[in-house]
Amino acid sequence: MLRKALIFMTAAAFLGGCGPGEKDRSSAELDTAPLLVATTTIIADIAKNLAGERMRVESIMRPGEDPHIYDPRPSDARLIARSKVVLTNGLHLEGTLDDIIRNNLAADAIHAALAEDSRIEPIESLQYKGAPDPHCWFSIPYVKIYTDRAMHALIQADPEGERLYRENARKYLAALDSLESSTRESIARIPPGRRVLVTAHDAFHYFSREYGIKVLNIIGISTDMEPRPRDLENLISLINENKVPAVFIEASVSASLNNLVRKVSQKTGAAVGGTLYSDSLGEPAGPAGTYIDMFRHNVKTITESLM
Amino acid sequence: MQKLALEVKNLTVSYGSKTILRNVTFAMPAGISTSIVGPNGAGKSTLLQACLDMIERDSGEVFIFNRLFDPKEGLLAYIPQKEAIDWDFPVTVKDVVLMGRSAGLGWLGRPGKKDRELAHDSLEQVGMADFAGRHIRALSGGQQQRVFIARALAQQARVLVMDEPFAGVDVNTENTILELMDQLCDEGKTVIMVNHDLEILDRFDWVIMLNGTLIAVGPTGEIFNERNRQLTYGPTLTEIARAEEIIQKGVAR
Amino acid sequence: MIEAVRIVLSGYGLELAASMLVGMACGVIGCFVILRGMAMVGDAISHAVLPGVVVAFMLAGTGPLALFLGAMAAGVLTTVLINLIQSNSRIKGDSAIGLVFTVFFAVGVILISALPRGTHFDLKCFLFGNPLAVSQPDLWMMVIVAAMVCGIVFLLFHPLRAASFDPVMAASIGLRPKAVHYLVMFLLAATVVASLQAVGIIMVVAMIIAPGATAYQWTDRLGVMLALAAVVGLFSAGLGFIVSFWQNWPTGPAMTVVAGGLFILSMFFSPRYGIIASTVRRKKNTRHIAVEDLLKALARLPEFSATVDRLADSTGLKAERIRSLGRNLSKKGLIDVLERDTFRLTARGEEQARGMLRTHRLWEVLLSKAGIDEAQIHPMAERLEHAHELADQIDLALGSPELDPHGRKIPRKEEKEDRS
Repeated sequence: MLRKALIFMTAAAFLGGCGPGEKDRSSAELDTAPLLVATTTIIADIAKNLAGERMRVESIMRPGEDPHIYDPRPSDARLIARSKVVLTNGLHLEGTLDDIIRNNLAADAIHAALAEDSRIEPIESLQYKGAPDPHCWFSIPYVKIYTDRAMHALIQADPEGERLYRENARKYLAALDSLESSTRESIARIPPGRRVLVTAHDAFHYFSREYGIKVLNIIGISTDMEPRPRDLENLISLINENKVPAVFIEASVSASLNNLVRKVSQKTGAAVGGTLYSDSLGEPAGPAGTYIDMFRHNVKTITESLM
Repeated sequence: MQKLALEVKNLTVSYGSKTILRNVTFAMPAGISTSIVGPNGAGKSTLLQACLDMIERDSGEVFIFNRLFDPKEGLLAYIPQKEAIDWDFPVTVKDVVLMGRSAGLGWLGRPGKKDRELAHDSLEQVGMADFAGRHIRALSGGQQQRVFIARALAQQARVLVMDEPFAGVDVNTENTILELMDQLCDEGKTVIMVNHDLEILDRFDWVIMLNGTLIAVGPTGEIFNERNRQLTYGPTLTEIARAEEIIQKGVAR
Repeated sequence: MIEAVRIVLSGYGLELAASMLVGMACGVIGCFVILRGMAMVGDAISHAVLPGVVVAFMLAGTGPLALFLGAMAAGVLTTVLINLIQSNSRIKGDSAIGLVFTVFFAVGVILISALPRGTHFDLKCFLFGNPLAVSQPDLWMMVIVAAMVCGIVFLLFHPLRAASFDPVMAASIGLRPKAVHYLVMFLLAATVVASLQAVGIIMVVAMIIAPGATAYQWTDRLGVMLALAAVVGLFSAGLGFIVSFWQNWPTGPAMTVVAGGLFILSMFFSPRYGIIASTVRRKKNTRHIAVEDLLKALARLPEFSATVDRLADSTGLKAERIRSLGRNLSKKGLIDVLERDTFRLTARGEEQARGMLRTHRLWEVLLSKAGIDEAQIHPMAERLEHAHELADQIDLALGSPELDPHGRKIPRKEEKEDRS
């Protein structure tokens, strides 16, 4: 009886590791195309829009994974070694992957950290002095810069595809512009006094700066931190003072952190306004499967709850 | 017929592949003091533990006053070796003696007024009533032994089993214990001790001589003779050791 | 600090109560962990429950009942496995325990990596605790565990005590020590599991041991120790919780540090067993002996006086020490300090010295009657002579002897010795 249990557990452990880790290869053509690896699903989505059929785009992280505490696997190193282009966010978002990338990047491969660009003005973190906030993708103008950087990386790796990449980039940037204007419209509909966004961790500071909404959080820019009691209490006081109507849980953070958000909701009377996607896209088939869908979903959720 | 305090039939105990006690059988009357003697490894403590049902036996039965030994009856009291006790354990003298009353109380029982009175009387009997509130570490060797004897008395046991009470104890304490032993036997209790000191054997009514098997048992005067001493302590330790000796002699030739 | 108390009491009552209940349960079971030498087992259980928790999470999410059952299953499996290894191999004790729990923990980590990616199992919370996130169902679990632990310990106090103190005797009267062992293990496992939320795997052992260790410094009786440990546990958790709000520290570690701090304080300041009290007692004793040796030395000399150097020679004390003791004795009126570094006994000093001589000689008579070897009598009496309390009893018991074994007169209590 004992032995059976042991065998079962060991088997589960091994099978679990092997199972859902492999990805589908959908198109035969793509099998021979060079590989582009992105660290997060957001960057992977941007890259997919640019690469077309000329490159195979893979993402190291899966939907719902948290880049701040991502635990690298041996297969990640192999993936990076086989890639022609590696796109990361930079600014320490994927701290756990930095060494793996550095050690496994092929000599002729191109690596671009999309947020590390002179055109992007990083916001400094309140908790970590001197550490920049990496969540630049919540400012659409900055995502346009991401797109531009990615495009240049693709061109550098595959000069023959330059025309295609530029064309795809142009189309994508236009879509981003449209997203930008609809976002501003939506936010304008929120009464000025209610423009406060309370989330689990500090992922929306760029959103705040770009679109004029105040942000409050339980913990700072990395989900790696411990929630502190005083900080929690201060947050609750601020919510009460400002009569904030809603707080939001996040799709990619731990259940315990989201439970704290729910607790804040209990203690203040603010409703749980819904789920926001912060550090990752949602499932491909769902409402937040692409960057643009995700952004739209977030804005919709926010505006509906705060109005 | 004199009552039999303890009757052991065909007791065999082994540990792994090694047989420690083989086929021990004897009957002991009530109201006497007995010393169990034998060399190291003879199985003296094992005999005690087997009687107390502390260890598994291969075979054999133990009867206390003609009934199969049932610990819950509390007829048999165990007095431990000094080394086996944690003297820093947070208990006072009266706490220890009161533990003797747990025999009849079961899991949920709590000692009542009568139990406390009995405990107090037991302490009086061994002359330790003044020390009731003291922590056990604050006692001398002899006083510690007396407290454990008081515990056995509080238990109202009829057979007291003491495991090497004289180990690491001075002459005066030894005398105190032996005097208490005589007192208890006069009252009709049976006292059995594992004892290494052959010089005080004359203080015991009976002796059990062990060496893997029962060499001899009975009144000290009759039984503790030269021949039995040879058999117990002599060069021929066990049948196997004897065989070894013969083989070695054969090889040497 | 007051502000912190106000905040906690007005907004975090539920979380505070849960943590305090955990502290109480930990304190109670911790006493048995200390006395039965089970600290390593406690640590083992706290780590070994991880795979159980992960499996429960996989099957049923984060509800407290699922967590509890999963953890208990893993805990029970651990103890069974440890016993199996200890009984069937050459590996004993700490080695078996250390082996099993770390392997279980590793299995747990592997299971976490095997979870569907993106299911957000937060290992950090299990390692360090997350007491602020306690909800109503969690509180109920803690109430039940605390009530069970305290209730069972109270109801089964006598068998638990007997089996922990003297398992052989307990077996001999039908209290089954093996059953008691499994019961204690079960209560420990339940307490550890309930404490995971409050303080996490790494610190739960401290929360279990510290309150009991603190209580142990203050009492000689198990019943009192248990009650005290419950109170100290309750208090440590509560105070730690408040301190975490005051200083904005993570709450689990704050509770642990307070519990440990209380122990350190007790270790130093407990009147019976504390380091300070023992040191003071020891110093007082040394001093007492030095003073009496000094007086005795003076009493033996003609004129009852001598120079400091002479006294240093005869007592073996350093001259500096003698001078400082002398100042004190002079204030007490026992000696006069004369010129040229000389001390002389006053009448009162004489009396005291004579009392000492009496005690010494009475002890000699007693030792001689007890059959102590003659060569040992004087040195033993030298050591015993400072224990004056028994002198009168000895006098009475021996029928007021006149002479010591060396034929010297034993001073009577009220007698004044002739100065001439």
